[in-house]
Amino acid sequence: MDPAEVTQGALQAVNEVSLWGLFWQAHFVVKLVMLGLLGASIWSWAIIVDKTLLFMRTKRQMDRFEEVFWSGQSLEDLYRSLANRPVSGMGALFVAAMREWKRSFEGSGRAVASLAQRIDKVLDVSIQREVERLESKLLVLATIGSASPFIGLFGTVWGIMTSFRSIAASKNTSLAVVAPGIAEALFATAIGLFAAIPAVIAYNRLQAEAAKAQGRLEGFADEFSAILSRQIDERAAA
Amino acid sequence: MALRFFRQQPGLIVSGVGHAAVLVAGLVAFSTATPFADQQEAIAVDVISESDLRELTRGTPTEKQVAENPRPVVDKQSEKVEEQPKPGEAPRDVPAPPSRPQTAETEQPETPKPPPPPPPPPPQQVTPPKPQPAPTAETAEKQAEEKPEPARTEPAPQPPKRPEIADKPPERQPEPRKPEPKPEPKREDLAKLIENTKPQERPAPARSQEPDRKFSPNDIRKLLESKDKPQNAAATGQEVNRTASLGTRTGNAARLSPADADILGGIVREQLAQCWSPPPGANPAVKPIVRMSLNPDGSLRATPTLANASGEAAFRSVADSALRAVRRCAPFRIPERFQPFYADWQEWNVILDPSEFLG
Repeated sequence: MDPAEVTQGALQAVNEVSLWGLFWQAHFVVKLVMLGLLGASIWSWAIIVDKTLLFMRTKRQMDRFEEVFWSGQSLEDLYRSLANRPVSGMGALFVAAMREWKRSFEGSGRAVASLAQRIDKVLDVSIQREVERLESKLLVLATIGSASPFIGLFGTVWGIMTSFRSIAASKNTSLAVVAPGIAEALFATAIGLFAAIPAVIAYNRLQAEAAKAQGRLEGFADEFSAILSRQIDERAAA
Repeated sequence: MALRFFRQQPGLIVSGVGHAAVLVAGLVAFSTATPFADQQEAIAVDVISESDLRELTRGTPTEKQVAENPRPVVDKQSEKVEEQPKPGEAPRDVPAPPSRPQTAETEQPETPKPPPPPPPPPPQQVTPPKPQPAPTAETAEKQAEEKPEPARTEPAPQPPKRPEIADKPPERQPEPRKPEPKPEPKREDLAKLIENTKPQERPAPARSQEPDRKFSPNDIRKLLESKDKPQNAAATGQEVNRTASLGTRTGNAARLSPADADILGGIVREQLAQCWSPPPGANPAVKPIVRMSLNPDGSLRATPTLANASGEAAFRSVADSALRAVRRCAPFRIPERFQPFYADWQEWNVILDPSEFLG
């Protein structure tokens, strides 16, 4: 190999260190890894944005519902205003419990003996459904956060392997010749970390938010079931 | 529809737009790689002492200016030049000096040529013995004819002036000269060269006619000793150089080995011990160091001085007596074998330890 040729090649390689150059010169497998990691990053950020907005919305709704609920307004009125539109969070719990209550009293036979247990069950199921809605797709974030560094590392190892095979073939170990291959290989790990770090942070934060919301729903459910069971006992005594 | 989707699930669009922005920013930011700044190489600096410098600058201290290319002073050109390997250069093979007068003759025309070719022509060693047994005029002529052989390469074609000599030797000539590629066409040049080198050739037959004269080194020595030694031994070198340069005459002065320095110090101290008895009650911790400037014969060149000083009265008295003793002792007897190292001991410091000189 002619030294001038090598220098020329090295200069060209040096010129091609932009992001696009790093991507375009990479091996096919490394390209796939990079594209996959880029997709994972886009997906994880989509989830992060959606979930953050969802939690903010949920929190606002719960605040407003609690305000209305404890304002002394009649539960019947509240139920009537909420029954005909889609609700979430505490509203969903309230509607589910009230529906069970109404069915028990408005039916032909008054089935009040185990009404309290039934309401508890209905509330539990509603909480489950709400929490599931809040926590959906969080596992995707966890997966991206834990797996993408390894995927990036795989791309890097593959790229370095290719680089070393090229070194062996060209019998030239000049750093200027070796460096571009290694740079593009490391670029895969960089993308992997770029995807993984926000995913891990967001997963931990959203998980905590979901737990907080679940705790709040359970607290409301307990209070509401206590109110309902008192009502049941009063009506039974009356 | 799109708007509603955006309101419901804005994440994907927001994320896609964000990533596109990051990619564009990355393309702009990473478009060029900044090369590393060139490293400045460190320059090694050596600190040398005065004596090192003296050895470094060879020259004459009385000269006023420094020559551009200082060379050692050479008064006459030496006939033999010893090829000494330069430091750092591997010694190379030098052709052995000629051992017979005949070979010396054949090599004579070579000496004026500046670069003697390292490989000696082997056939020349073969030819000379033949004319030796019959030293007649004919052989002399033949030798004379052989002599300019090394100069044959001269390409100047000249009309032949003495063809009879040129024609005579051919039966002798070609047989030892086999390796020579062009013996024939140069015959005329040869004859021409004989003409030209006539004056040089004259002593040659005389020497070759008396090859049996005994070589006696004693005669040579007697001849040499019969003459007075010149005041200034002419320095010999490869070429004559009469312009000296500022520096010291002792440019390449030999240095005393540590053992020799110890011996010389002992000699000086021994002589001082005969002159100096430290004042009674001198503090043994007081050790004046006397610096003496010595001439080559051991006499003092200047008044001795103290190299260390102290305000103590006790030191003063001891030092004064030591200086007196040094002055009294001069000239010192320096053994002949230390003469070559004069540059090293012309400034000599003596530590006068009273405890050593007591008794």
